Amino acid sequence: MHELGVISKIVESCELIARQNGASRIGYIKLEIGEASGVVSKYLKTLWTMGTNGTVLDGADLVIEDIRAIVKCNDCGEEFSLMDSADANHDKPCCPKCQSRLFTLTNEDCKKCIIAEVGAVD
Amino acid sequence: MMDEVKIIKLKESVLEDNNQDAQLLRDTLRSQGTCLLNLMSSPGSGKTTTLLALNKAFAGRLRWGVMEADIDSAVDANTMLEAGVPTVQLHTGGMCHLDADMTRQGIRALGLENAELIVLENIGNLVCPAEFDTGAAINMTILSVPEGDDKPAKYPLMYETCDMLVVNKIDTLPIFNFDKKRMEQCARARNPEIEIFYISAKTGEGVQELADALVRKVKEWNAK
Amino acid sequence: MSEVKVIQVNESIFAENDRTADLLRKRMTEQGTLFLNFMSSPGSGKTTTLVALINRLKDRLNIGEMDVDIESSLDAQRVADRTGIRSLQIHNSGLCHIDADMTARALLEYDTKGLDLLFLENIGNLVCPAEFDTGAHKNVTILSVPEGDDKPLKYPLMYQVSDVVLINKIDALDYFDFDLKKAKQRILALNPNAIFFPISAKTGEGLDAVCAWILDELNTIKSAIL
Repeated sequence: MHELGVISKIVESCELIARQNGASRIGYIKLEIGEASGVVSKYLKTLWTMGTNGTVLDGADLVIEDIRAIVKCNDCGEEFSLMDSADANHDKPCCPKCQSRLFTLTNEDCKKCIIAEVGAVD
Repeated sequence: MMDEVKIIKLKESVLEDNNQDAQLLRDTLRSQGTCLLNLMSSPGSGKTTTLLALNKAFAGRLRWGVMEADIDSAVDANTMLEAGVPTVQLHTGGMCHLDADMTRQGIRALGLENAELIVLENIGNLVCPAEFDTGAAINMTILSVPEGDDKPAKYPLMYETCDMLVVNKIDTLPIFNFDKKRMEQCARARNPEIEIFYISAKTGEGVQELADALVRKVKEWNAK
Repeated sequence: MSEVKVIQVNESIFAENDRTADLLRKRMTEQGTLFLNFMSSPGSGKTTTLVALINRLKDRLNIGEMDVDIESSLDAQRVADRTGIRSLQIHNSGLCHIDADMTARALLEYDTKGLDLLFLENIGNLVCPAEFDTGAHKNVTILSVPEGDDKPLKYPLMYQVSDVVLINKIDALDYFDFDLKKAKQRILALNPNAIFFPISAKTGEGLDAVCAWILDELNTIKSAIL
């Protein structure tokens, strides 16, 4: 359950941001969670309220944007969603156009988990 | 960093939600006459090889299927299918465990009507899976001889949670220092009721006894 | 009426942990201590390997060891008993990993001044520990022969963050279908800079080369502070 550890890291970062900006608390936070980052949005949301209770993020609105893993077929150039293809093909994604199993990731962002922006409150 | 008490409280609340969900799933499966077995272990213990060996030993006595959640499956869903076992690969996206909700989705995806046994091959990890009730009727863990006899002492929750402990790769006992007695003492200290089986999925030794025990348990469970 | 100021952050959630880890690493370098993080799945032989390495090096180096486990103190005790060095057991509340902050807190209880070498035996898990920088100079991952040569395919992140891979239990190669060449190829595909040492912690085979690497790394650290 490392989403717990992830929330504690977010809290730490926000404490620093609040201090740097003379804010008393963070009222809103937007996270970008990559599909290939290993962090699960669902658990983050479930644990969020209790995980931020009593911290600088207490009561903050949480907005999560999921960053999809988009790949490009090495053979025909078709771009498609890695996870959608995995779901449709027994976890063995392939090009929906030519069924090739060779593809390249187009966006490294989907491996990351980012604090995009926060709303600091005086 | 969160303090220890808070971490424990947080986990309790998440687990509580999941526990209720798991109980619902268990009741639904019982009314359908399907026994769900949650198979856990560390990576490389031989979960899939064991399943293939069990399939042969079941000899058609059970209508069963497999949900592959372990990304670390040396034998993929296709190979299980080739062996004639209905199988579905769950898409886990790097998670370190499965819960009741994901299990439910997997069962739906498997779509096996009148299944007597569904085996959930959980993610290769001794820490996280033990904490999450998947709604299974039977929890089984595989410990392989090369890993050592101290795993029950080091990962107590896993062994507390399991009904059955299968010790695999016994064909390698001559080359590893595996103290059976000590391992059993550790496991039983945490869980006096745990049933222990010794097998080699590779040579087939002990597999028939395990298969027979499972068939018996499944039929008993479904008859209730 | 409170004013809300929107701040663009655009920073990885691991950024704070990374900062703590960097500070820890810097501190270790400044005091001349090589800090190594050992990871693997359960039963690969972390403790046995550490005991073997410590016994080979303890006459030349001051060595410390910290072990992370959920509950038991078996490993730290085992290391202390078999090597005579001081070891610290960290219980991490059942979390599946340890991060830089937890490491730093453990170091408050474990004086590392004067140590040449500090080992961290991470929790037996191939999934979560890879995500959190512990502040170590190098990550050493143990892959044991009985586990299979396909682990790099299934746990890519672990091998991406590993500087060194010890392939352990090579004394058992005849009993298992483990293709050493394939395993290396798979790891190099993820991490072209990874260094390999095939070893048997049990028989001692290959350990001299690992010790040589450790001494080399330590030399690099010590030269940096001169």
